Amino acid sequence: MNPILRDLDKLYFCSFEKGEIRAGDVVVIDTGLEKKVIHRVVSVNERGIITRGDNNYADDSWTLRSEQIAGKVMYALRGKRKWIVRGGWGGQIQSAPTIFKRKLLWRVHGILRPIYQGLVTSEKLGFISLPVKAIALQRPEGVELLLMLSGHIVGKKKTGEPWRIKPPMRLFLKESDLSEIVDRMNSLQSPRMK
Amino acid sequence: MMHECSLPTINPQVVCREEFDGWAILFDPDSGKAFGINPVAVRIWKNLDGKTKKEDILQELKSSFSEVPENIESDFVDFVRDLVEKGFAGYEV
Repeated sequence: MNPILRDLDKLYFCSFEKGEIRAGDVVVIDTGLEKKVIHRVVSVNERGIITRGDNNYADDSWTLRSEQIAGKVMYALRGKRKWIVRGGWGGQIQSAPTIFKRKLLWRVHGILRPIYQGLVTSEKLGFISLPVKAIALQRPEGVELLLMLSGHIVGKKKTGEPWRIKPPMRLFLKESDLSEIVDRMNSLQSPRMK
Repeated sequence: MMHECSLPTINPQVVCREEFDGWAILFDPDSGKAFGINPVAVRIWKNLDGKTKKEDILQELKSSFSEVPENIESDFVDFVRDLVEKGFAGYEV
């Protein structure tokens, strides 16, 4: 629900016992898993409730029943700042700029993606050597590498998987630099990380 | 096992939200795990940049907090190891 809600915001929500679920409401979804999901209601119809995160490209894959909605988010608290999370029409207006920006980016990506993919699949990559560094994190499934450039994460690699590099950074990274990072991690893994 | 002379650096994805009383919550959006830490641990967290030495951090803790226990070093090592094992901190490679 970026940018309206961020990680670690405290949310106040109430159940829908006294009201109906409307498009635009920000709701707490009980997925049945450990984590609850906070997304906005896109539409309510006879098949169920459709939701989406404001910053997501597409609606959620699920169609919810009302009993899967734990409640409606009323307020959010970040530090000392407390604000009302709008629902219904107010919520739709509040989320409109984010949705518009996301749709615009999606169209731009649609135009640029084939060109980018063409360059990535060709071997003409890495024409600049960037001062990247990597951080190795211990995860239950193995070691995860975060590729950093000037304090920003530009790529990730999980054990046994290829690098996932944020566009357009793949164009500027040399394959040999990425392999070198993996080699360094493998050589350091034994003394530092199990 | 921690390397003798190097400290890890914080996981840049982790959000550290400080509360009014000096305590803080560390939250890893990747794993969904959260970790409550006290003011001493917050100070350690802020110094985990992969460059600052353990001795310097311990010295800062001793000068900043009263009644620092004698076994602060072992507590420090345990805390940092815990962070690494939970994926809240890692080593630069």
